[in-house]
Amino acid sequence: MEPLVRVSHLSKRFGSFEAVRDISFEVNRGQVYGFLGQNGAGKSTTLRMMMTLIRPTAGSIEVFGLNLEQHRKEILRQVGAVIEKPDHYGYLSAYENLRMAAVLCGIHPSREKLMQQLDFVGLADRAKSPVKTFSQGMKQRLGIATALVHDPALIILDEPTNGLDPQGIADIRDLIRRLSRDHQKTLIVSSHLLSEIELIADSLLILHKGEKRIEGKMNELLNPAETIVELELGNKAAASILLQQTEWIGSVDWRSDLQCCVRMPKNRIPELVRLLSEADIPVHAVASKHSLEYYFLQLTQTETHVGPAVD
Amino acid sequence: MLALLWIELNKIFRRPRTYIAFGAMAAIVWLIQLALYFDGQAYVDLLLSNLSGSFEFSDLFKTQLLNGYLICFVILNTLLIQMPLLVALVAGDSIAGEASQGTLRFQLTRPISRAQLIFVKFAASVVYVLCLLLWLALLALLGSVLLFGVNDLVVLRSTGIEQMQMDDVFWRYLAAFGFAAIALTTVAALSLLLSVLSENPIGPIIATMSVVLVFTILSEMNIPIYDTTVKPWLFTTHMVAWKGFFYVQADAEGATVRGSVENLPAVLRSAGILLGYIALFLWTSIYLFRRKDILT
Repeated sequence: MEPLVRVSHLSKRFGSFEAVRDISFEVNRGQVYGFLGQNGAGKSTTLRMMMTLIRPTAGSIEVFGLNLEQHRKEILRQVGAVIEKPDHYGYLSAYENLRMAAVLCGIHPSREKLMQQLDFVGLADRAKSPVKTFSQGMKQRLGIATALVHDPALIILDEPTNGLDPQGIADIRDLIRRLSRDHQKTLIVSSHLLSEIELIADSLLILHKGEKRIEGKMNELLNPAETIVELELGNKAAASILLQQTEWIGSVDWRSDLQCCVRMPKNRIPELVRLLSEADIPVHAVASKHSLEYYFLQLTQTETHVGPAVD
Repeated sequence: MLALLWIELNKIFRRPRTYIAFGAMAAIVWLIQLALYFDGQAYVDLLLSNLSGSFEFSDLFKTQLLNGYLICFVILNTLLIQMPLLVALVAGDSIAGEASQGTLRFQLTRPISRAQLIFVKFAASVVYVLCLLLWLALLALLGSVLLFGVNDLVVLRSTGIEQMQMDDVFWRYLAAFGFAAIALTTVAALSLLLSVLSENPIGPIIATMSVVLVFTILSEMNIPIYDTTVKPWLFTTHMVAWKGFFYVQADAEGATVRGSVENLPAVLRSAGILLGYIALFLWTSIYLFRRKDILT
């Protein structure tokens, strides 16, 4: 199947600073594609390039099989986006902002249609209120309404839950699910929170310092059969030898003299504890994490590249 | 395109601060009219005092001199110098203001080209300029005519006086307002260009006024080397060419030739140079804006 979005070797340099370095990925029709990375990882820069707000230094972007640079208007007619934070004209009402967004997209929907859009994001009762009186959550929902006003096939949401309270986050998450499930939209959603992306995305790309670090389907990346076990042990020398000699242990990463992380099959945790006990190695703590969470935490806590990129 | 223009005009005229310019103009015009209504004759005496050495003026002439057309001329002389600031307030804000608010993203993530957006914002600035001039015409011309009545217009020059019969004046004002529209559109185009370069609206507004101020000072300076090399190419030199419509030709007996303009080719050349500047500013704005990364 032809991917809806194909990004090839995309780079962006601001002076001597390389914000995005040689990123490639594909998004298929109907997917919710998660963009994960810390602040400054290059997520917004990549999404801005995808919306033609920033010119790439190198690489190409194809959407709907068309080159973005050559077919910008044609592509943007079918793309809706909220980049970074949804900014509107505060002195205009929600309805007027939405109508303006529609006209900018070259369409003139009826009042009823626009009210339906506002109703979809739960703002119908505030249609006439000036946007400057809205909470951050309401502005975010209006932003999504303006992104949807021309019924786009692809929706790009950059940090849609930023600055929202728990209820606001749940509302946006629900909205994204409805767009994907009930309206068969393709969504690219960025966040710096794995927990957010984990709940909504089918596929995931992790960016770190402008580089792609990992990409894949969530169910594959969150492989239930494999886990990372964090161990707090009493005898590093003996434990190191034992862990190296155990053939089903994938990798061992010592964080300190007491702590290490072990990649291994999840169903063998009891066996590992038994082996350590039999070797008289004190086991003070055992915690299991799925590999993606471990990988993401490693990225965000240390500078070193700790795992293989699935490129 | 018209729908986009409608959006831009909606944005300009829905903002309360837009009306500051209209309010400020009304205040200045009414203050001038009020002062001349109560103390106009003293003002006329002051004006004529410079010429009294070579001319003798009857009291009737002095009374007739103070009429709606002269008041309008005085107001135009005062206000057309200040109006670039009012134009810069809107045109300078058009891109930079949207960038600082983040609404530029709102527009540029839609299927409209950057060149289209510049054209639309420029067109909206032109409409705003026309509205300002229409407002000025209503207040200064219509208001003064209603308050002071009409008579022949006498314009003082360093070389003497120009007298136009009252039925030969109205078209000159129409032409002058038309020329002022071109002059102020030049300022709007400059302001738009500076707005493309900035992400804060204060910068382009101050920069526009600085350019106008420096160019005006250069235009007014009497330094021979500038007269032939710099002045002819400064747009500020040509912005005041609207006055040319009030400088008339005289026949062999020294009488004013009705419907004449002393140096029409010079006025038209000035208009042409201003139009050239508008095209240059607009083209540069589009060129730069198409290459600009939107980071706000």
